[in-house]
Amino acid sequence: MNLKKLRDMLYTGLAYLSLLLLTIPLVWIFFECIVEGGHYIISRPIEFFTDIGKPPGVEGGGIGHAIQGSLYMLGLALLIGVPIGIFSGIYMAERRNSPIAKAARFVSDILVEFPTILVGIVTYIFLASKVTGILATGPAAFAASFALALIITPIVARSVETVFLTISNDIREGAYALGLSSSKVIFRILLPAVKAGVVTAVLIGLAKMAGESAPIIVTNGISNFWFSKWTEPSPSIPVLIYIYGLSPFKEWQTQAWAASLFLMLLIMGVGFLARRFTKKLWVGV
Amino acid sequence: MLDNVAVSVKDLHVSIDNKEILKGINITFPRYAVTAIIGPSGSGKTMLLRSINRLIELIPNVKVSGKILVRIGDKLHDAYTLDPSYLRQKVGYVFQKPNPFPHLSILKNVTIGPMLNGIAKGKKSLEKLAEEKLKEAGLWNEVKDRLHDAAWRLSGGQQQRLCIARALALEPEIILFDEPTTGLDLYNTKRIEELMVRLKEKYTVIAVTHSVDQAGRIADFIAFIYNGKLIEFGPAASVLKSPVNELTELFITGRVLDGVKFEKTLG
Amino acid sequence: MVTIKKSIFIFLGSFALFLVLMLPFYFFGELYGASEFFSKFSFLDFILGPEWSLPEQRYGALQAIYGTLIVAGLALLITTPISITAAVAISEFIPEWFSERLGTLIDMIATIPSVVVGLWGILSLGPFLSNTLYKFLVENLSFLPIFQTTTLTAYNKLTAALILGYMITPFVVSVIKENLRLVPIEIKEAAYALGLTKWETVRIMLSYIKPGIFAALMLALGRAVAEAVAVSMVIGNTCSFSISLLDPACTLTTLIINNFVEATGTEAAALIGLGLVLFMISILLVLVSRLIYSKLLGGYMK
Repeated sequence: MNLKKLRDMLYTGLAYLSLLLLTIPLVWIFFECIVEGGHYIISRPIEFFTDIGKPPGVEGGGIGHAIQGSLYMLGLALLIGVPIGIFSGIYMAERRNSPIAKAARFVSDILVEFPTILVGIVTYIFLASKVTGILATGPAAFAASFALALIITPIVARSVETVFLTISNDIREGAYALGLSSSKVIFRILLPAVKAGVVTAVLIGLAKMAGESAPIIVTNGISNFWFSKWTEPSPSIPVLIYIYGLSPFKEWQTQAWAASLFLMLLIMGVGFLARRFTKKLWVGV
Repeated sequence: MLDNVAVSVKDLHVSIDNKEILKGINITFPRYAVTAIIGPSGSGKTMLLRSINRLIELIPNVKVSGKILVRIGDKLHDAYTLDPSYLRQKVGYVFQKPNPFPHLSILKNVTIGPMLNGIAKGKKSLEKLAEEKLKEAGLWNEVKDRLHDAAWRLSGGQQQRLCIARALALEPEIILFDEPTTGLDLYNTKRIEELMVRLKEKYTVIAVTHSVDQAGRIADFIAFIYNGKLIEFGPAASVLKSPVNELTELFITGRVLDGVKFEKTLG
Repeated sequence: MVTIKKSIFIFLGSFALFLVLMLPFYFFGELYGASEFFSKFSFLDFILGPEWSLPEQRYGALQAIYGTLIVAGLALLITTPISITAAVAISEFIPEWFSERLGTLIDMIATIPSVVVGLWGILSLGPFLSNTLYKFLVENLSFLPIFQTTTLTAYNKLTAALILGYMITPFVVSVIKENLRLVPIEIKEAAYALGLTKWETVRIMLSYIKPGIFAALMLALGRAVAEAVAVSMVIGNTCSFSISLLDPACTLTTLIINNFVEATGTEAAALIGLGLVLFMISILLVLVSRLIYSKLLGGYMK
């Protein structure tokens, strides 16, 4: 009898230990970001966000070029990926039993788990490669945007589908009963009803995309200059962290922590917004 | 006299979320007999049953006061000072809805209790125990060729008998039944009723039932509970034929079904 | 009217069709890109080729496959006990107000970009481990081949596996939590009624959701195999068949990420060939996971 209790206590102890083990690295990462990186940002609050990186050995420098590059890349990716995701998500929900909808659901479940580096490779082969690519530009920013767009599409599609499935059939039938055409029902009645949910879907996709670095590295390569052309490599925040982190220079490593802090706050901000919109959705419908 | 006592409940009060469900119950359940607890739904029958093996403590915000003595071997023990794990091994429970572990095999369902509680060890002796208990529960002939099938593949009635075998496998002193035939067909209902009667040779049986007829078929003693209070208790024949209390009579003659109508009838 | 009604679904459906075609498109893209290589070498020779050497123009994938399986497998081994106990603790043991917060905290791990985890690995965790744990292992346990190394560095298979294990844990925790929530209350009551303790009851609940846990672990393994940046930052990037966990290695993804952009000709095609191998492993794992789960839904959980 006592052995039973002892064993229960041991297991409970192990459970708490595993929670502790999971929390330590998280706290450690934030600690390094804030202490190493935060210190740097505070010492150069404007330069950090507006300036370009300085060569190793030179004091100072910022990540302005990477922020700009990331904005361009993510912007184009959203422009391409979000409509495809929303439209196919609506189709999956509103024609849920059609063969295409079923296939799309199956494929997007696989694509959500698909290695993003492979999406980058294929995009590069078809678009940017000097041998096989249609545009034959070599590593370029637009290719990175396309890859990111392909990554975000199934995520948005699946979330938009879920959101549309929450609409009760009464609303749908009510709308059709008014004699409205399908397109009016979908875009005038249903979509506005779940606006907040769709925004959440996009934000979730954005949060996932913003941290991606592998697909950017294989399509766009590495650059530490200002964004110049879509057909040239562009800097971005994740890739800047990658090269600065791998470099042996202390100043660069410090700036990698600072960029990490900025990137994580950005992603957490997007996630926070997404949660806010989710709450609105449930109040709204 | 005391040798005949299986469970003795003294001044039992139970409240959930500050709402009083049982309002001072005093009752003594005799040993090696079937006692049926009857009463309209919501009268607190199930809560009384769950108080005996302390399964009631799983309900959030529950308060239990009073005293419950349970016979284990030759001695009466205070249920609420015993280790709940030990108490529940000695006081088995069969639920309203059959709830075998659906993913485990038929065999494992019977042996898992003794195994995890360290009562029986070794494949051979566990299998022997399972055979014995499945026979006791009247299920052996139907499942002896498919002991390694998952339990969810059994029919509802078979699942319920498996649950009985599972409870028996711990060699309890007392078995509590909570409306065990709800939703079962006539055939299975009859088999389980016969089983309950047969079990009183070795165990004490306390069964909550929604049906007065069933109580008449199985019970040696009947307790009638209404609105959290024990209204009448006595030998089955006398309670059914000549109830002392007017409420009991109204209930067993089926003239009223639920608490609201009671108030009106008496009103 | 009828044509208008239908045309909107043709419009929307074409996008859904695009989504469907993405997967075969990826596959043929990989095949197309690697075709130059496979026109010269057989696929079997490629995956069994023991050496990846640029100067000698030898492109065998076996070392990378070996590194991938060791590191991802070890990551899975690390995450399994931790994620199960953590999920159980959160959903069964900790008071609700606190467990929700803790759940959010663990979900936060999943939002850390892999490059940031890699940065932490290269600048903080790696150096820390090489001065503590690795030093201890080499000094005291080097009679075990898995802890033998000639030159101890901070960047090796074990560091990569630890980081990967950490990255996939929040996903596994959240799936197990979700599964535990779906265990019917009747199962718990039945266990308690048999006199089982809280942990014994949990044990029965875990066996009830075993297929769900297994499916989650398969998906997690797929994520570990596919992870590129964080691994490449801490694995040491030297291909070898060394059995020691404290020796550096390379994986499918690290070879690609380190060489793809500058590669040309046969090397580029061979790297895409590595991608093809990764493709097949990933799809296999996702399908196995789905198969297990659909079987579960057809069985006792329906």
